[in-house]
Amino acid sequence: MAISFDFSGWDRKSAAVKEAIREASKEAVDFAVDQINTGVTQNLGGEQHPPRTPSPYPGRLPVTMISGNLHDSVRFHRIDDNRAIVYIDKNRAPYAVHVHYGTKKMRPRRFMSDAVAERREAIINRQRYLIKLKIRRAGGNPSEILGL
Amino acid sequence: MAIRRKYSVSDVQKVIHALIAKLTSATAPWSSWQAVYGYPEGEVFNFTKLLLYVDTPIKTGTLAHQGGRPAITMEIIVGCWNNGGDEGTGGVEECDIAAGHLLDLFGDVDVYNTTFTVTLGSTTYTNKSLYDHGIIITGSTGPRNIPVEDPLEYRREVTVSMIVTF
Repeated sequence: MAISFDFSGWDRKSAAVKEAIREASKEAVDFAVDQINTGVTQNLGGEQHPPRTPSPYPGRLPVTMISGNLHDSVRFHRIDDNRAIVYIDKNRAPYAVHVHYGTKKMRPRRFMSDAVAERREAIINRQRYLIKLKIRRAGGNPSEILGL
Repeated sequence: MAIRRKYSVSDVQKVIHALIAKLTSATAPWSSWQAVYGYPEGEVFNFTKLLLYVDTPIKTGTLAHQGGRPAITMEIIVGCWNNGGDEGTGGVEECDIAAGHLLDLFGDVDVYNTTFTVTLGSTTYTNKSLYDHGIIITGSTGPRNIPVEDPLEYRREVTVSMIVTF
């Protein structure tokens, strides 16, 4: 007579939940990149005006366009599943940093920080939603796993 | 709680500016610096002192809780700008000292000990602390080195995170 114990189901479930979190994280990063990329591009897509003419609305977002180089210089790069970067191509718009932080003669137009502040909550909420959804689909209980 | 919900952006900016202005009016080494409300405009650069500017805060989130009105989280940029050159207003070292003082001020509970006077709307609040105004500092990061055009200018920015209750 013997009593056998088989907990291999837990192992499979744990692996499935781990995979679910990895997938959710990847999707959340995609969403974040898309949101920030869109936000920054919108912040740089102001009215166009000819060179050597004053801006129609100085010191405010969206940044007005003269050549449109800054507007076209928004790039993103995926580092791995959990990390990505949205950046300005310095070769195309070396003056980006002065537009963002301002100078003595020009007010700052923080086109990147503003995009992040505006969308941060939406990104965090989406990540939370995706993780819960994927864990549930993998057969886990998000409340137990995430301690909610 | 003096911060008004509908005027939270300007009220928070005024309160933080009043706090820094109070320090620059009395305490060394703060008295060697000049507090500026908002981004420093061209004319401000005539001052001979290092500038501490308090930029417009940004709302970063909402903290909802049961049984009360939600608080909000905000971030505000406090910068230092030294435009007097190496011999005029202390150069890069002075700028770093100012940035260090800002980081320390907002990274320590001592920030609640400083009382200051500020007018919000039509009401003047005399000798109140940040805590009295419903502001809880949650951290400070930086300083970021901000590129400038003039080689004898130095600029740093510190970001202060806070919870604003109403």
